[in-house]
Amino acid sequence: MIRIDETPLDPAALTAEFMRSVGDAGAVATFSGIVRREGDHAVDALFLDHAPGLTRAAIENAVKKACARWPLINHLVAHRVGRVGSGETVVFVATAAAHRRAAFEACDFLMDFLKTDAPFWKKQISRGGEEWIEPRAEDYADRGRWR
Amino acid sequence: MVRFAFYGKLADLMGRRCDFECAQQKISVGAAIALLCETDPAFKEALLRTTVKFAVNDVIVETEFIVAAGDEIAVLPPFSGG
Repeated sequence: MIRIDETPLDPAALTAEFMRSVGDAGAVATFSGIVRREGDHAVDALFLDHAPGLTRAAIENAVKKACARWPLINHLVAHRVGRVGSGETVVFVATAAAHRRAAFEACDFLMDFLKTDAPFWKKQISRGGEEWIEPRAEDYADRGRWR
Repeated sequence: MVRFAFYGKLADLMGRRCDFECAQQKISVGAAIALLCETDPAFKEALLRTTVKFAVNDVIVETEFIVAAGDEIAVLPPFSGG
């Protein structure tokens, strides 16, 4: 399942819901990305822009690739858009598989994809002003591990 | 007429959408962008400072792609999710 909207994400509730949809999986991996309260610039919030059709199509394609590479039983990719306050969850990914390695790696793959290859644009809002954030070199290197 | 859609920092500069009158019935994405740069120096300057991709009808395309009447060219600065 893919979910892209402005609704706040509750990782505990999402995990509980996901656990009810994994059949006889032996492994579930989850990742929550949270807007840091105190980074280098005392971040108040992020603003996430996206291109609805393009963004969904790109994530669907990444999920397809993940399913072709690992035997996933189920997946959830949930991403906030709009304003996301510090301390709030901006992204949640869950993967279920028979064994842990597939669940871990597919979750990792999907997160690396979301950081650099999914059509989202992230503006950091702090007391010092606003700044559009681009991926770091490490993010591109992380993504490169899967090519 | 060509319609553009801008995202991220380019939306701050250009607004979300703009319609651009051009004489050609058929035009490539690259040629349409070049025309827009001619009339909008701020956009041209922004393109010099960032790498962009383009999409038409929710599909990433190269600059050689020919847009049809009613198509929208999405101008996409570097992605940054998560």
